[in-house]
Amino acid sequence: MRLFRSLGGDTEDGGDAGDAALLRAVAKGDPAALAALYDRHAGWLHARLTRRCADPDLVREVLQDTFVTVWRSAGSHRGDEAGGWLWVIAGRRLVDAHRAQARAARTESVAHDMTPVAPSAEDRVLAGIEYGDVGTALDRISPELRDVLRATVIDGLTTREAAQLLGIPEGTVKTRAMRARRELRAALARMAPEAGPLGGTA
Amino acid sequence: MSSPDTAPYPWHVDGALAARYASGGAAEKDAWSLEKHVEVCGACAARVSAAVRGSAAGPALADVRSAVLGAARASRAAGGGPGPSAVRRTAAGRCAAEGRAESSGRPGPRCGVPGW
Repeated sequence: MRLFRSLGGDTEDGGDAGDAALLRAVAKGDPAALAALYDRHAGWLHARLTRRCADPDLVREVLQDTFVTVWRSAGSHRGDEAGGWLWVIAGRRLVDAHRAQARAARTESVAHDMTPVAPSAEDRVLAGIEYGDVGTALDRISPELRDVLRATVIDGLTTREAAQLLGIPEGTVKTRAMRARRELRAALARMAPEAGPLGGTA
Repeated sequence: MSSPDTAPYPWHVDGALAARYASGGAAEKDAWSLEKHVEVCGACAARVSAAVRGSAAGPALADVRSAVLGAARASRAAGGGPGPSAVRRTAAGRCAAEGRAESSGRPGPRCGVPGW
């Protein structure tokens, strides 16, 4: 079996040498490609999960399940960079794990909502956080509103999933999301509307 | 470090932010910027992941890596490639058991997997 030639960028497929080539190799059953994909993405996934889950064992379990899922279903990925796809898997796994814990605590049946979140105008506005202004606005809203925004917008969870992850009712998620967007819009309106410098926040 | 097709993104994660994020000390707005960015930029994903490997999370990352690769190699030895059969499941198995998704006759793993 062909050995995968790691992260350097040479691939017989040309073009985007990165994740797409790795995932194609993973889909063909190449563990070396899975290892390369893991080394590129597992670190930030672990850190991102850790910011959202205080239980380190659960974080490890979710991370492992994420890459086991990648091994099984790499062929279903379309596109170049895999990071967004990996986070969707990891985020859903984290919600699953939280729901399982909640269920263990109190037996309750909740249907699994697989409805994808359609990109909204807010998503596109918030995508601008890379460029600074919204980041400043974010500093002005309260932590509980930020948590809801993070779950629904940054992490792409449904209202139900966000409720399960945060341990609050769905109605509260909706109310806080509306308040957060209203406050963000107000904060943004107070700032200069013209495009700021593309300097970033780092 | 290779930078595959990162030209469309004028903002990238520098070493200082990668280190802050890896240690859990990044401010929320910086963390969000980083998190959305590494979803689309493989070079920054690799940079941040390297920083996390060098943090307190390093041993856990190595453990999970061994487990994942062990499961992958075992499934390949058993079945000759990726597939749902021989791979160890933890949360995935729990979810499948509770969600009866796999008895519905739909192809492929449907439990929390973004097939869309």
